[in-house]
Amino acid sequence: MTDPGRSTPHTRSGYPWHCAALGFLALVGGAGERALAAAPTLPGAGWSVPADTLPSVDEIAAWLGPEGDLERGREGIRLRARAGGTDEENRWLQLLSALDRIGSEIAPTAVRAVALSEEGNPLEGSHLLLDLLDGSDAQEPAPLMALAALLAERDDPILAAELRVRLLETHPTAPEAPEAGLRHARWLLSIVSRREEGLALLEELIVSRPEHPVTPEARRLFLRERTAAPATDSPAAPL
Amino acid sequence: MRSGSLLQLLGGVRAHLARGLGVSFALATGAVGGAILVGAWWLAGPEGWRQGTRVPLLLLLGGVSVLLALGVWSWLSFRRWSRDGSMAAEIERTAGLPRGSVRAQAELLRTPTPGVSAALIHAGEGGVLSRISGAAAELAGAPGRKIGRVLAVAGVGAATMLLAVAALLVTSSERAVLAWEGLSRPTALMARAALPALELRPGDARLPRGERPEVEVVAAGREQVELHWQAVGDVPGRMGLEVVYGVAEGRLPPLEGVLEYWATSPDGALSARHVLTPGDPSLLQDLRIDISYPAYTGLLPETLRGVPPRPLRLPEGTQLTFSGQVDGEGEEVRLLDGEAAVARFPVDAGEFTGTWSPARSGRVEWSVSGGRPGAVLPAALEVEVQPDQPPILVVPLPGGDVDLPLTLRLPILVQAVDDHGVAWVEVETALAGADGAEVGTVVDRIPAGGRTSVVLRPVLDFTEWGLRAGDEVHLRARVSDQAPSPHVVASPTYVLRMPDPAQMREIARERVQGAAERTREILDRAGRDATAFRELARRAELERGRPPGGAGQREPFREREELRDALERQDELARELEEVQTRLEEARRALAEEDPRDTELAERVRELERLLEEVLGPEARERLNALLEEVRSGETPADPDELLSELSRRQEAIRDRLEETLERLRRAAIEEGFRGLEEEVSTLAQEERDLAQQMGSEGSVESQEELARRTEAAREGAVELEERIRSGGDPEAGDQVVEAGAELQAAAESMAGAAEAGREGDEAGAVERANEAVRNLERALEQIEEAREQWADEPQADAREAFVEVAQGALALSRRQGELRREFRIAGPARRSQFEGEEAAILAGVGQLADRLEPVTRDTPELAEAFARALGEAVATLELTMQRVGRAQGPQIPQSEESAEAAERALHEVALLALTAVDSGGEGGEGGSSLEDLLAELAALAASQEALNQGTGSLGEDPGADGSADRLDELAGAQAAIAGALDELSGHPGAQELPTDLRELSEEGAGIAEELRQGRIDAMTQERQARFLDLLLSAGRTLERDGPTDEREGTAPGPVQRGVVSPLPEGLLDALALPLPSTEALEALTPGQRRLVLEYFDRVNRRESGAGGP
Repeated sequence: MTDPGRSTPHTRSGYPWHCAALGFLALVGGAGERALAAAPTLPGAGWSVPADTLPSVDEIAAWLGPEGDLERGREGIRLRARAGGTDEENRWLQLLSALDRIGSEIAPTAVRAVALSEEGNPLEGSHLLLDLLDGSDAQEPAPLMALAALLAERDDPILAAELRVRLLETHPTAPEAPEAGLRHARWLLSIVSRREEGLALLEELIVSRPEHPVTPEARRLFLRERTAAPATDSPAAPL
Repeated sequence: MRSGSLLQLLGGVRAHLARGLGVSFALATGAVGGAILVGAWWLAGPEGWRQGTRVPLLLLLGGVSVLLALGVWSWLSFRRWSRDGSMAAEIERTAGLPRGSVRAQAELLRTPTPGVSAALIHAGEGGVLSRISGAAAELAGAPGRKIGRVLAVAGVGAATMLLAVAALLVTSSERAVLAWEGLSRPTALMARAALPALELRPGDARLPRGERPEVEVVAAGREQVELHWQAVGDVPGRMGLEVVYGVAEGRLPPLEGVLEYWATSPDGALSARHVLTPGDPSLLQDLRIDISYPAYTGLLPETLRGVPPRPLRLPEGTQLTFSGQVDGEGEEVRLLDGEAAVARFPVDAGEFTGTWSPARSGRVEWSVSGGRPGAVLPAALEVEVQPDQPPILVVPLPGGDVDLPLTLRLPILVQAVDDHGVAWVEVETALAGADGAEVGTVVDRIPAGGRTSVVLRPVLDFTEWGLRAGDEVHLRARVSDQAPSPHVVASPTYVLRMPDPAQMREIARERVQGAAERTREILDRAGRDATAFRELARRAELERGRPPGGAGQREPFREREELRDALERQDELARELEEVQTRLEEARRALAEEDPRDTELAERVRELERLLEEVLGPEARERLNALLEEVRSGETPADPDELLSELSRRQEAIRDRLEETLERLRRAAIEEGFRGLEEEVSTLAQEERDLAQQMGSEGSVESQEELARRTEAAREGAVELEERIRSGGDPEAGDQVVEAGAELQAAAESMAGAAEAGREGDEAGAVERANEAVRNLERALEQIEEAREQWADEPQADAREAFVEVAQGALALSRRQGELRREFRIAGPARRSQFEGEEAAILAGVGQLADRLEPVTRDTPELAEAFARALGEAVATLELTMQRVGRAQGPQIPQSEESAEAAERALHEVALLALTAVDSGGEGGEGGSSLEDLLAELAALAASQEALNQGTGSLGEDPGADGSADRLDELAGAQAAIAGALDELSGHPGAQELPTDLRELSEEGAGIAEELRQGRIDAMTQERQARFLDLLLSAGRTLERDGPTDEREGTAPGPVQRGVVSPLPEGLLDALALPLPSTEALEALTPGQRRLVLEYFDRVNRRESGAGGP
């Protein structure tokens, strides 16, 4: 296995305070353009991730293991997240969000699953997580299911859908459940015969979690689909 | 042929006549009775019968007479008509029988003629009967017809009268009842009205001899009276007097001796007998006594004519002035107390005058030397001298030793009474010192203006006294009366105590609990008001579109009233909240400052006050007041509908904030409940421990019983606390409190056992039970502490949950944004048209994230600021993405992707912050984020220092250049600002983890600044600056990450470096075109602001010089 960290050198830099400036400019109204334009002109300082300091996957896995250093492992994930593109960053952060709940026995495998995704084999990573789930070693399976679904999303949407259904059925109150519900509803809406199920799922999400961040999207989708004619039955569009 | 006998026929006719007459009489009786009633109604008039009238009796007699006449007529008529002959004649006439045939046959039947056979009699009867036909009424003939007429007349009369009576009863029942009631007592009405008794004036009197006494006879209701008199030894006399307006006047003969007089009237009334006694003229004529009361009494002078019959009550010091004339040749008038003359008044030309001030009570006799013989002296003068009494003072409030209220304003009531007037009342307050001596005595004297009764209700304000728990204030009142030698009376001294610190904390805790309960009530009402306001605003919105004056259009008056009502309800709510806040503030102010427990509690209470204050906010309160004033003055605001909407929105915001505040109050109340219970149980344990060692000593049993009572009270407190915890939804903590309560119960029982053993003299047993109680209390304390810790973890768990949810939400939104970004390039026009809406949904999701974060970051401003920055960037970039994907000419794909990617990064930043907060235990601490901020601060300061070092190096090469002094001052200021920033950063939580002591570093920076200020820019100073920069960089680098870095490194502007970097641009210093702000200005900024400013100047100046920057 190649070290993803070494293979994808990336350096980003920026001032934490420039975010404040962006926020301020956004408040001024219509200044987002200027805000974004201003960002690249800021000199490099503050946090930065030089390629030669990026921890390897094995290092992170070891830190997150039973005998490791959890805090260091977390920091390693943060560094790897910032070193990658936004998709990779998202997956690493998804893993980071699950660390507390999956336990140190499973965490190293989960790290490797995300690293596989980084290498371009997300489905392989998803299967790795599925094996873990079937082994029933996880303290809380919901984050693993969500991560596995996320990794399977692109190459095997059906598996992703199945994982979400499993998540919704077994852990309906998990933090990952609202997004899983939204995504599964979107999947169901793409199938003519299951459109009503999708609408019902959206409605349930809107009613039960009105303040969740994904609910505005659920609401928009629900309103659009309620007024739209059902489409032809076709395989699910990319979520 | 008729059946029956002839005699039966005659009997039938007789019965018919009797019935007719009877019924006629009955009807006539009814008619007469009715006529009497109607007549009585008419004659009595509206006021009813007058006393003495005979009309009712006459009416009744008239009626009875008529009825008697009718009865007699009826009887006689019946007798006449019912005779056999009469009836037989009528039958014969009616049946056309020969005259006498019926009568003869009837007589034959009654008394058969001897020799006539019965058969023959019956044959004759049959012959007669065969010729008679018709009913008895027909056979009655003329009498029957007459009775029929009488019957008709009586019937009509009776019916008429019945109707009339009914009508009267209905239309004027009161008059009818009055009139008819009189009929029931005609004789009583005939009696005349009773007249008042005769009265004589002047009654028994003593009058001058020889005078003709004038007598008045009061004789109401009479027209004439007779006055009688008889002098002793004389014949009686009398005179008739006419009564005018109830009074008759007359003069008796000259009064020479005792005379008795009386009066009579024609109605038989007789007055009492009175006696007139002749009197001889006084020796002292026109005697006048002027009384001058002493000034302190405030009484006005009085004058008496003659000697008063009753004793004169005189305040001590009163002066009497006598004046008058002596009848005859008098020389001196004297007042004698026994044999001694207490006053002498010489007579001059028959007149005398003089003063006397009685010193004591007594009776003085008159004595005149000379004067007309035979004249008499006035009666003796009796005086009663009243000495001045001391005033009476009572202080019903406080009336005893009391605890001061938390408001530190104590209303008291002082009442003072004096016989002649209160001069002043004073209230004295003094703080009791540690040794019991009074310090800081304050006396407030209130003049009473000489009132005889004074009631004062002052409110003693101790708010400025700085009283603390356990302090005592002594209070007493004094009063003085008005007198030449005033009496001063003082009240007892009352002790006003501030509760001790423990009590004060308990009170403060109760206030917190009370505030929570009150806030719940306010919240209930605020919720109802919010619904009502929303409905009002909605209705206004609906009605807004309707034409003016049309149906459904609201009237301006109604609009104004609705507004006023809404504003007043909000105003009331605001005032109630202020009241709750004030009560908390009172409790907080009263807490002692020395005890850390008090300080902690005061801080928590202050926090609750701040929360309550924020529910409405000062600006909203100001606007509410202005609007209320406007509406109350009768003006209608410019846009009432909009204002209603604003009120509705504000009310909902108030309700939301109240809900949050209530939750905080509820938690604070429970937390204080825990702390109070812990404190009490801990104190109990300590006291029980001490008592166990002294068990057997005097009073130990009583102390043990008292401790048992307090332990039982603590157990009850635990039960209340458990209920509150359970209602808040934390059963586990509640269970632990229950266990603690059980331990307290056991402790109380052990204590009771110890007391019992102590009473029985079993000292060892008592000690054992007391130690057992101590162990129970210790276990209870442990359980309470554990319960509190468990309970306290609950909000942390909530916060953790919120942060996890935010992290997941942000990642989900980022993923959605990523999916859309990938679609930008491949989407067709139809799909592109949907992007803007989808971006808006993500933007709304960011808003939800902010809402979710708000309550959990409220207490951690730094974390809240970090989230605000990240969310601000997310909003800015999402808005930009929306603008770009929504442009009419099609999306600008690369730019849209760029901004979308920036949005994803910003959302990741939010997620990362949330995850860091989760890692820090859900306490909202800065955690890793905080360390990163510290790192960034240090890096920025290092960059600034680097620029500063370069500036110093350049200046060091040409220290004599123009303006170098000013430039040096600027550099010194910048160096001092960096030192100041480091000093403040040394207090940062992450600073403890740094290998370098930031405070020492700050001191080093300040030293360098001082050198620069003194104009020292030699190599040593520059070397020191370089070393300072190294330390700064190494501190940040060490913290940031292990291992080497390719980031900037500090370079000293020494000779070696100078050679390497040379040639430095000639105008390097000139590049600092923008001078740095002064030291004072920089010091006024926060470290963060200072860093921003320094970096700004650094960047601008470097850019100007072309020195770099991306």
